[in-house]
Amino acid sequence: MTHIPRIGIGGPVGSGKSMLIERLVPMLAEKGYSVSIISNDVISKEDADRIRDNLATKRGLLPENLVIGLATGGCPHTAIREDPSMNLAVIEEIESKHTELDLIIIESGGDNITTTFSPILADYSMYIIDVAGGDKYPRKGGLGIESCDLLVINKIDLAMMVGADLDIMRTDAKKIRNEKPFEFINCKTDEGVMKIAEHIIRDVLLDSVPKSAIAQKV
Amino acid sequence: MNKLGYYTPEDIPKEILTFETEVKQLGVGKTGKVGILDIELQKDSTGKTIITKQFSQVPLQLQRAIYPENSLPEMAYLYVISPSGGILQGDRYRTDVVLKNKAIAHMTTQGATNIYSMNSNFASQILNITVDENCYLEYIPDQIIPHKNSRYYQKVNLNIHNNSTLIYSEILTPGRVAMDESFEYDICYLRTHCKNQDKKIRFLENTKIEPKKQKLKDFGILGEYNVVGTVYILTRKDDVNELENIINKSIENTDVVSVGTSILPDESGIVIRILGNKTDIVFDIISKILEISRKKILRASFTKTRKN
Amino acid sequence: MNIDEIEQELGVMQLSDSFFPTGIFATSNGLEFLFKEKKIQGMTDVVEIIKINILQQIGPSDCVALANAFDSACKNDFDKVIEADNIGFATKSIKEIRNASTRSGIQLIKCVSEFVKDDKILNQYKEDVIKNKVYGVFPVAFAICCNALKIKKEKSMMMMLYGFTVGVVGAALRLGLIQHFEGQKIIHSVKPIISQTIKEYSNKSLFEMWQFAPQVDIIQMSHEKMDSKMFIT
Repeated sequence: MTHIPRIGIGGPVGSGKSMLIERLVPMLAEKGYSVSIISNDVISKEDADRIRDNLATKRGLLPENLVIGLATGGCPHTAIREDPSMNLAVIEEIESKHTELDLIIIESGGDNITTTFSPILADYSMYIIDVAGGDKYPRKGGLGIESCDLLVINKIDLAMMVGADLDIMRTDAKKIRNEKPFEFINCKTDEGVMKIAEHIIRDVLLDSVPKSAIAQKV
Repeated sequence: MNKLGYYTPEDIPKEILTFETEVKQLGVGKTGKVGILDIELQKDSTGKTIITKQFSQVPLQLQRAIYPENSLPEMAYLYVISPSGGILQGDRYRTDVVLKNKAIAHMTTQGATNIYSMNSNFASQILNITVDENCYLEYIPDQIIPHKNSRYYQKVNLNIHNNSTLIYSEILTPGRVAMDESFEYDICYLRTHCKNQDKKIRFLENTKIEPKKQKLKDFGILGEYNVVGTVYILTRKDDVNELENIINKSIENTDVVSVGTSILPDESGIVIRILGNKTDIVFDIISKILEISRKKILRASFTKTRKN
Repeated sequence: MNIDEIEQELGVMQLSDSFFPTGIFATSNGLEFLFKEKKIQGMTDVVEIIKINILQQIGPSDCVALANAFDSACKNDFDKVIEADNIGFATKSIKEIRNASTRSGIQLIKCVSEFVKDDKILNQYKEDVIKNKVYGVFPVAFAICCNALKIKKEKSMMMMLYGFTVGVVGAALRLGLIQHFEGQKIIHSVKPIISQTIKEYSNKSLFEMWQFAPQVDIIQMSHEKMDSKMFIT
C-alpha cells in the first residue's frame, strides 16, 4: 500500500478548521494536487456535508466519496491521539482504493488546546486559533499550540474589534514556538491562505509533482 | 425424487431434531407427506416468460402461469397451491425454482402457510431458487402461521447471478391470533443462504425463534409489534445504493409499523426488516418495495395484485 | 499463579482495557438513535438493551464465531479461521455494524502484531488483512489475538462480552443517559448474562450460529441513516 501524506488540522470550536480546508483545497487543486478530507466532527457530519457540497458537488474539485465524516463517540481527542484506529481504518481504505491522491487532510473535532495528533495518524500537524479569543492565546501555550508543525492564527480582520494586538501575538508565538513557523490569515478573504498552501507543498508534499501530472505524461 | 435425501434438509438443527419421533398416522416419507415442486422458467421466442419444465407432487401444486400485469405483459405470475392448507407434522416439502434466459416472474402462494399443531415430529421445507444471468424474480409468499406446539424448519438456498435480481420476502406471524393463540409454537428455525453464480456467499441468515424460551415481546426483539417481515433484494451492485436510498426515503415509520433498511455484505443487495402489528400492514410495505424496485430495475409500473 | 499465568492475566487486562485502541469508544450500538428518538430513559432501559443484544445477537453469533476461530487458531488450522471470518462477515447484514466490526478487527490485529511476533496464525491473518484477502471481523480478530497471547477461550469470550457491555455503558454515560455509579451497577447486573452466554455458546459449531432481534436490527439500521451523529454505530 502506498503511503499518502497526511496533515492533521486541530483547533478549538469555531476557530476556522473547516473554513481553512475549504480555502486550501481549491488552491491545491489549482496546482494539480488531489486531496481527500476526513472530518472528525464532535457532533455531526454537518461539516463534512458542507465541505462535500462546496468542494465536491458544486465545484467538482474532488469526488464526493472522498469527503468523509467520522463520528468520534464524543471523544474528539481520543480519536486522533490515543486511539486513532477508526481514522487509520478509514485512511487505509482510502489508500488502497485511491492511489491517485496526493494528500489526506484530517480535521479534528473542535477541541481544547492540549490536542495533538498521534504521529502514526498525521505526518504534519497544524493548529488553528483565532484572534477573537484575545491576544493572550499564543502566550498561554498548550500542547496543540506549542508542538504543532504550523500554527495558524485566523480572523486577523477581527483583531481591531476585539482589541487583540497582532504584534503581541507575533512576539509570543515566536517565543513559545521556538522558531517553528506560524502564519496570520483571514479565511474570509484568503489573506495568507496561499502561504499555508505553500507550507504544505514544501514541507509535506516535498515539492513533488502532482500524481495527476505524472499520469498525464505517461 | 422420492428419496429421503431429496426432500429432507441435510442440516436439520439439533433443536429441531429433538422432536424427531415416529408419526402415528401417516409417517414421514409416505404419500401425501412429501410435497415436491420443481419448475424451470424461460423467456420464449415471443419474449414471454413460460414454464419450460415442471414436476409436482401433492401436497404441492402449481397453477397455470398468468400474465395480469399490463405494464409487463411478458411477466409470468405463478401461484403455488397447497390443498392441505398447511404443513403437518412429518411433512417434508421441497420446492425448486430455476429462472433462465432472461425470464421475468412473480411467484407467490395462494394462501398463508399454516404450520399445524404437532404432538410428534416436525415439519420441514426446502426452497432452492436459482436465478441465472439477466433474469428477474419476485418470490413473495404469504405469511407463515405457526400453530400451537408446532415445529418448523425451513432451509432456503438462493443462487443468484450478480447480474440478476431476486426480491425475496418472508413474513412470520405469532400464530392463530383470531383464536387467541399467540407465540405458542415450539420452534421456528429459518435458514437463508445466498450465493452468487460462482458459489461466493452473498449473505447468510439463520433465525431461531423459540417463544417458550425467548422473551419475544421484550423491547429489542419484537417489542410492541407482532408480525415480523424481511425482504432481501439481490440485484446488480451498481443499483444497490441508490435503490436502498429511494426505498428508505419512501417508507415512513408510523405507530403501527417500523421499518429499517441496510446494505448487505459486499454491496450485493439490500435487507429490509419490517415490524408491524398486523400482517396486512407488513404486506403494504412489501408492495411498496416491489413498486419501487420494479420502477428502478425493470422501469415498469406495478399494479398491486394481492389476492385477498 | 506461576509466572506464565501472571503474564497471561496481564494479557487479559491489556486487551480488555478501554484504553486498548480498537475504536470501540466511538460505538453505541444503536443507543444514540434511541436516545435521539427519546425511546430510552435511564439505567433500566440500558440494561435491557445490553441483555437483548447479548442474548439474541452477540451470544449466538459473534461468540460462536469467536469460539470457532479460537479453536481453529489453537489447532493451527488457518483455513477454518478463514471460514469463521467469512461466515462472521456474511451474517452481519447491517452495513454500519459490519463496517465497525471489520475496522475494529483489522486495527486490533495490526496493533497486537506489533508486540506479538511469534504467532503463526496471527502473522498469516495479518498478512491477509494487508492484502485484503480476509474481512477481519472483530470476533475472529479478537480470537486470534487472545490465542496469540495464550488467553483461554472462555476468557476471550468473557472479554469480548465485557468490552461490548462497557462500550454501551460508555456511550450511555456520554449521552447523559446515566451517571457513573449507575454505569457500574449496569455492568454488575449484566454479569450473570455474560457467564450464562459463555457456558451456552463456547462449543457450538459455526453452523449453529443464529440471531433474532428484529427491533434491534431496525434501531441499528436507523442509526445508519441519522443525519448527524456522535457515534459510529
